[in-house]
Amino acid sequence: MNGVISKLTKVLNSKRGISLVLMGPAQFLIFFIAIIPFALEIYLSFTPWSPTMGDLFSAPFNYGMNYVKLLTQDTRYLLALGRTVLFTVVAVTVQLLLGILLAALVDRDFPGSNIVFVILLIPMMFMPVVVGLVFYMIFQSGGPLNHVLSIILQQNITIDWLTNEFTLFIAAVIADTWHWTPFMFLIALCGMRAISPNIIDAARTLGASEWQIFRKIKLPMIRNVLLIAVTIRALESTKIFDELVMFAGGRLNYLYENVSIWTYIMNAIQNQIGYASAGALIVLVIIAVLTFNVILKVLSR
Amino acid sequence: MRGRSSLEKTKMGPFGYLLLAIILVLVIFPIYWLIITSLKPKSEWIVTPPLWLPRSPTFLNYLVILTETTAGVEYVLGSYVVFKPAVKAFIDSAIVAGIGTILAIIVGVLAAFAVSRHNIGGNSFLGLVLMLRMAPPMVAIIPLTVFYSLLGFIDTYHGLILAYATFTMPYAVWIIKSFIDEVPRELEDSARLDGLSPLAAHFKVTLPLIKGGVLATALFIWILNWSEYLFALMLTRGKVITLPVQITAYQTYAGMLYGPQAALAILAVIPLIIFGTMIRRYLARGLTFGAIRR
Repeated sequence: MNGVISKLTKVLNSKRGISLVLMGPAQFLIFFIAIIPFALEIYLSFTPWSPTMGDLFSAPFNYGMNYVKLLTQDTRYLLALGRTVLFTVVAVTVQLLLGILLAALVDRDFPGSNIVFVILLIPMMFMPVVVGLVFYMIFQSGGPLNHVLSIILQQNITIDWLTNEFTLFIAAVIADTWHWTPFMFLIALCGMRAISPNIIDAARTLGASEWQIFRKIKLPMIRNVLLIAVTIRALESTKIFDELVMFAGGRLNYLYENVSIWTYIMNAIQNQIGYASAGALIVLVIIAVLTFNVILKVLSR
Repeated sequence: MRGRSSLEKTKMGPFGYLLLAIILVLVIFPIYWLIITSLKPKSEWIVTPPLWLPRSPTFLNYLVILTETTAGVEYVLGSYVVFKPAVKAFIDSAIVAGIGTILAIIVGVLAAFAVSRHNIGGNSFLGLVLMLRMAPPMVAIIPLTVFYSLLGFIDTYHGLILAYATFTMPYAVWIIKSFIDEVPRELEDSARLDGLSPLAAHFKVTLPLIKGGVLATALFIWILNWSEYLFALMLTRGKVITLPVQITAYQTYAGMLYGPQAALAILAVIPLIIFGTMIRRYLARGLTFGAIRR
């Protein structure tokens, strides 16, 4: 028995054994749950397949027609892409500015700063579905936001925020900002607290104002960590879906259609699996280029 | 984060306090609104102007979601709607998120050792794994639904668990690798001289030193799995119900069931806030794949 165990130990600790034990499980999961389906998706994206056509291989190969149609004729898809980019740019910019402001504000001495820090992080821990639910309630025409606006503006405000594309966009940006500004704040604060106090002390002795210290020392010194935060947030914000589903309030009527919603409708509601696959793969190519050229470099600096 | 004398820090002025107070109100208000909605009886859900405090606060909404049939159900939902009790959603979420997390951590720890200590896979593996996480979940879910239908994995615990483990494992690999990188190799080398095999050195020398980090990573991944919606929506049909899916179930064509929905949302979010606050020092590292280490 001992002989078997020592032999097994020897095999496991050979070069191949180590690689199998350590990397095998990860490779199995990736192959089984990601690579095989991915290959399937590439195949499907070249067919007009939908489940009503029967089994997987019953649809004809259509020579990349899905891609051609998506990129040249399908304005609905291209608009969805555009909305996704616009949402990301606006939401991430707002979150970045607010996060820096908040970090500069909290990075000082005041009673209760620990509790304030904990409270400011809470939105980040919420599940997206619940964020969507909360803001669905807030943005109702008879909801608290219109009520507050009515009081401030001294007239009866009854904006139906969730029933047209533009106000839905605003609502989504606000919900995402509530959810994720804490992340930008956290990263900016980590960056500011890593700055040696000697530098700031020296600047103060030389007569620099608080604004100058912020502008000339803190901001340049947290640039690199902010870059990491911005790239990650930018990619994550393109995926926004759960909140938009909640905003539709249980109806299958999505008035603000970004790429996630477009793909969901094509895939799960209209069952155009082949076409949806092509649309999703175009997004994947864009994300892959960004991941390998930008994010991998930013993360492993 | 401590350890600086107050002398060097900026003082908070009256304007700063005011700004901070406004921000705190904006942060807390949505949470407050969720809580009071969960305490409102049906007659107070939709009134104009909205009620900022429930007139007759009640725990009926909580009772309705946690028990199968009571007088309350009829009162709140109307007799024509019967929902599965949300207790099942809690149990299912616990099973799927829990086992999915454990699996992701085991696989992630092993792969992190391979990359950090043996340079197996290297940057291309790290890039591939990162891609798994960065790719829109929409891309993954289309063929996974088709593939799972072929395998009969739709609406099963193991199907959802495997999906969750695979798509959160990238975080485990990257974060745990960042912890392993911080432990000097020399510690393992000297253990090897005492006769430990390479694998034994990993598990007996390095792993105990990073177990706090591994635990924090596990909680971090658990938070992601507990909150996940799209995969659960597409890969289950009702035999398995997770909390996010159950929460959306109260939004129906027949109307919104604000009270029960808010009550369930609160119960679902409480563990997230507890665990999230516990690991707040690791959140920056977690969300940036180990790139920011404090």
